[in-house]
Amino acid sequence: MDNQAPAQPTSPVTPPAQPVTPPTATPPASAAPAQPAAPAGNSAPSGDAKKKSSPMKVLVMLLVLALVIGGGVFGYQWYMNKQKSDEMYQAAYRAKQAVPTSTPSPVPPVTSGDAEIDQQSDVIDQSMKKLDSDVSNVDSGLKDQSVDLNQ
Amino acid sequence: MTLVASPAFAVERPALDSLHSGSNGAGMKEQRNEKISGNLQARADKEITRRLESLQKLITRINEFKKLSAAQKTALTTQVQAQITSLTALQAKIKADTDPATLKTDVQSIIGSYRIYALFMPQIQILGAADRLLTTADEMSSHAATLETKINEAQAKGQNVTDLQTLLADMNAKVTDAKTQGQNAINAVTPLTPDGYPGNKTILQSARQMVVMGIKDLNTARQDARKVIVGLMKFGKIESKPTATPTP
Repeated sequence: MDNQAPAQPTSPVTPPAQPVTPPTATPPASAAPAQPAAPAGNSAPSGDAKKKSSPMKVLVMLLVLALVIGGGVFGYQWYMNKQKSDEMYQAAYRAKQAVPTSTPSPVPPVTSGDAEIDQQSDVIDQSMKKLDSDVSNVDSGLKDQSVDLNQ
Repeated sequence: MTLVASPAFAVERPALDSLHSGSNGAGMKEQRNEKISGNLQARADKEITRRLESLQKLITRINEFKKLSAAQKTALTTQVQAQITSLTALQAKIKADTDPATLKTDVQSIIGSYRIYALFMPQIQILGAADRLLTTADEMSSHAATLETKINEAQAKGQNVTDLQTLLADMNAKVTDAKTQGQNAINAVTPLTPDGYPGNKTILQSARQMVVMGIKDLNTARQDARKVIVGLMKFGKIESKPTATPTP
């Protein structure tokens, strides 16, 4: 039994033959000692991390979404207000421009020097004055009220 | 209770009062009634006089109408004259009324007859305005014909009269529209009767608006005519003498 090959060291401290999981695949050193890679069905520490990061991602995405939607709404409102104010300004400008041209001054009476034309013009002018008086009489007739004789 | 309204009886009242109970209360009440009746008679007289004067002016106005036929004028005059006769008789009766109850009834009949007066006044005034509108439109048509002759003369001499012809066409169109408005106003108010009170008022207002529209047409036509005259003056055909009275 003495000439037998030395037995393989069995110390659990130095197991050179066993594969060591790379440091990148293990959780932080403070969390657990180095262990061989476990089968897929037995990875509890990695699942917790994913569970923690998922709500964060969702939160961030929601935040970004809210910012995008809020920005869109704000931009739309700003655009509409601008359109409205531009229209009002343009309308006001147009109205201001239209004032001088919308009321042409009446042509005063003219004497042509032609007897027939001037005589006709005079007759028409007198008739127009009487017409204005007629309309005043019509208005007074329509407004006429009976005196209250019961007082 | 004895109510005495007439001044004729008022002289005898003290004697009557002394024959009755002798109390001064009844006499004072009768004096008060007399005063009220007297005031009522005065107010009624004033109102009837006002209406009679207005109706008399209507007859004068009807006689001035040029576009209405003689039969239409006679019919209108007859209606107004009948109202004058009725009111004159009522005025005399009210003056002679001695019974307060009768006086009150007679005064109320003034108000009852108001619908006749309320129709005649605006109806005939609108007819008068429409009549003058048509007459003035005819005058403008003659004026337009004269101006057309002048324009044609200028054109024959090689002047560019395109603008003047445009103005003349507008003038003629406005005169035509004014005639339509005037005739429509006459057609609207002629068939109205006092029975249609107060619904007549809407038609009267509408007819009044037609007359106003017609006057606006004639004002535009007159402006066109003046522009044509000024245009002709630029050709050197006629001399210009602007008058001092501007028109609105």
